[in-house]
Parts: sequence; C-alpha cells; structure tokens
Amino acid sequence: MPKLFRQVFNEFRRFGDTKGIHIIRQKIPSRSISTYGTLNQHAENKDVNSENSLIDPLEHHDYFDIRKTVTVKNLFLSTAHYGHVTGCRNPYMTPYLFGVRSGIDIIDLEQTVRHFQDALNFTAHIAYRNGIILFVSRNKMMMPHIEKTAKACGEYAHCRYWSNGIFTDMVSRLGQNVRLPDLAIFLNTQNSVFQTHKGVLDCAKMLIPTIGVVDTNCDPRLISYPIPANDDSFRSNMLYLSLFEAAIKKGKAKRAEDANM
Amino acid sequence: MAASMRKMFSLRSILRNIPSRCGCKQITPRSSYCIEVENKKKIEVGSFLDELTEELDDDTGVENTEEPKSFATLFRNSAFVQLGELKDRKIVGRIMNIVGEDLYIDFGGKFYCVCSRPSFRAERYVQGQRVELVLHQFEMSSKFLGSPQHVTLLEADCTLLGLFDHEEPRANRLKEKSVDDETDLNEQVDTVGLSSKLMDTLHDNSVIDISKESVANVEKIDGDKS
Repeated sequence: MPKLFRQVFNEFRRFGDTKGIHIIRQKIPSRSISTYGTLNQHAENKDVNSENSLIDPLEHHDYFDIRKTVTVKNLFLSTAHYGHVTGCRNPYMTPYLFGVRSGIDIIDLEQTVRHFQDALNFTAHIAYRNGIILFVSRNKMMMPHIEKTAKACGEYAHCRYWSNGIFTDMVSRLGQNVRLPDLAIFLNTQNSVFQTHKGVLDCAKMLIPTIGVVDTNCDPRLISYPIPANDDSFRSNMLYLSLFEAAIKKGKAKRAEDANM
Repeated sequence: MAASMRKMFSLRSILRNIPSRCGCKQITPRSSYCIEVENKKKIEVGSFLDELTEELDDDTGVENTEEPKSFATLFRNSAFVQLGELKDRKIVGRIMNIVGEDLYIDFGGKFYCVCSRPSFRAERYVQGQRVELVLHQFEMSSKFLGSPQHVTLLEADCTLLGLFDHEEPRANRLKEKSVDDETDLNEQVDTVGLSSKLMDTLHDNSVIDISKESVANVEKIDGDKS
C-alpha cells in the first residue's frame, strides 16, 4: 500500500495538476511538497539529463531548454523594439524603455529577453502539467495565424469580440460550468478601440495567470508575465507565435517523455 | 474620428508633397540610389527591409560564433538610426497586401503604410513588388482635446513615389521563390531550427523577400551599366 501511494505521489510530483495538489497537500507532510508553492524562475542551473531522474521540474532553471530560443538578435530583427510615439505612452511602461528616438519610444530588448524567457518557461510548465492554454488577441491581421498556431499545438484561441461574463458568468452564458483555461496568452492586450482588453480583467478576476505582450501604450499592471515588446508588426507577432508554439510543444513532449520513463 | 483624421492626414501629405515631388529629382538623382544599393550603403535610401533579409539569411546559413551583440550596438547600427531624421526620407518598401485599390506597404517600420494604387502602370503594383516611398510620419498619431494620450491610427504616413525594381521579370521571381520554399521545408528541423522555421512562415506569407532576389537585382543593375 505505501508503495502504491508513493507511486501515485510521484505521479503528482511530476505532473501534479493544480487541483490534485491541493487534495494531496492535506495528507502529505508539507516538507516534501513545499517546493510547489512557488515557481522559482531563477533556481540553480542543473543538467536536465543527469542521473537523478526525479529532479523537480519546478526547481530547474531551464527544464525545457527553452530559454535559448529567444535572443536579442531575433527579437531585434523582427522589429520587436519599436514602441509607439511618445505621446501614446502609458507611464507604467517607462521602466521597460531604452529611450526615445525621433519621437518614437524604443523598448529595451535586454529586459524583454528576460521577461520573454520567464514567460516561455512558464508556458512550457503549464503545457507540461496538461494545462489549457488560450491565445487571445484582437489584432485582425493576426487572427488567422493565431488560430492556426493554437490548433497546431493542440490549444485554444479567442480572437473575436470578447463578450462580458464569458469567464465570470459562465452558467448563464454557456448553460453549464466549463473548465477555464489555466493560462491566457495575450498577443495584444488592447482591444480594437485602444482600451485594455476585457479578457485581461476577467482573467485577473478568475485568478487565471496571463502572459501579455505589452507595447508602450498598454497597461502592464494586471498581467502576470508582461513582455514589453512591439505588438503591432506582423513580423514580430509571427516570431512570438512561433516561440510560444515551440514552448508548448516542448512542454508536451517532455511530459510524454517523462511519463514513459 | 479615424475617418476625419485620415482625411486630415492625407490632405496634409498632399499639400506638403507638391513642392517636394516637383523638386525631387534635383535633390536625389535617380542614379544615386541605384549606386547606393550596389554599394550596400543605406544612408540616403533607407532600406530597412534589405538589412533584415541579409541578417536573417546570415542566421540560417553558417553557425554564428561571434559574441552576441548587445541591444545598444544592434540598435546604433540599424538603418533606423543610421537614417537620422526620419521625416521626408526616401525609403524602399514592399507591397504586402492589396485591398481594393489600397496598397499595404511594409518598409521595415512598426506599421505598414497605406497608399492608393497610382493610375500610371497600375498593373505593376502587385504583391511583393518593391516601391519607393517618402516617409512623413513613422506612426500617424495626434493629440486631441480632452484625451491625455495621443490617438493613433496604427499606420505610417508615406507618399508613394513609384516602382523600385523597374525591369524585373515577375515570372522568374515566382519560380525561384517556390524552389526556395521547398528546400527550406526539407531543411526544417523541429526544435533547433527555430529561425529557419520563422523564415518558412515568413516565406509563406511573403513578408520578407529572399535576399537572392535583391542580389539578382543588383546584378541586373550591374549588367545594365556595363
């Protein structure tokens, strides 16, 4: 019996889905599970393929080997550093700026890379734990590409008009309770009329973690993982999509790999 | 509001460009920027796009062993900074999309600029064609009474001057492109080749031209001269 229990526990240790953790936490001494409380993004850098097969993914700095996929250079080449004109700036974006060039805010990509790596790592962890990931955007140009990407990595997209209460008043909207996403990725945190996307507020209300590409005219305050970068250009959006897709696929591949081990 | 603003901008750009269009040839003779394209100088004619393609091409080719450059270095050496003052700068763009008679032109900035198709040689303005522009505003935005922030149209403001590649055989280019796409697909590696994957997606949407194409143009100019 203890052996079986240990096996079940190890399953949770590796893949513990968020609901299961809470149940287990009451039964298990807190010492063995305490690391799940926080997601430490800057833990010690160990080798993933070391002999210790029961390494805790959350304790590892770069468990999915995803951080190297985003560099200053590829962000720069996809014009991720262009902000809006200075007059459009949201004051909360000022810390992420490199400077102003002929009236145009320039985003500091050195900071962006760090934020992006953390966001990708988080995405991969959610995918590893079988979380549902929802891509959200109101950028009409990007809509078909976002939906295609979401489909390609087996996740979901919402690029249409966001009607109020789709998360908060689900029973009257959809007729029954539906599982909410475990992560929402906002490729554009503005709606089409230059206000913050209503989904950002709804996600905050429902405690759904959010990743958001925030341009210099966006409000980063309600986003769990803000990524300061250009959210308007086609080229940069395609880069973000390919990075997120790679992160999700890596998370899922790692899950399959570890399950077979 | 957007409609009235667009009208205002278009009227302003027309008025502003009457003198510059008349005197344009005197300021920069046609041959001067051809030479600059040959010499890979990007001082007078801002070709943001060429720079991007060259760099991306380097990435996919040989493994780069150099130290990664800091953002400050990359930014300082970019065409965006090297151009100096952006206003009224002559630049090269590429037609990305055509909606009705509107051309959506990417010049490597944050936004596309939207110009209407000219009546002269209208059939030459097709998707993927490179064109010359005069850049007025990087982003069309303006302050309106009562709002603390600027209102932006999410568009750049440019005037279309004409075609950039005049004698380019369109059919050959398409053939070359399709061959390149196939080879890229074969080379694609799932995890490591992220940049090549990006290139693929970009090729699919014909965002960035293949740099061979621009090399071919330069050779063509060479040939014409000799």
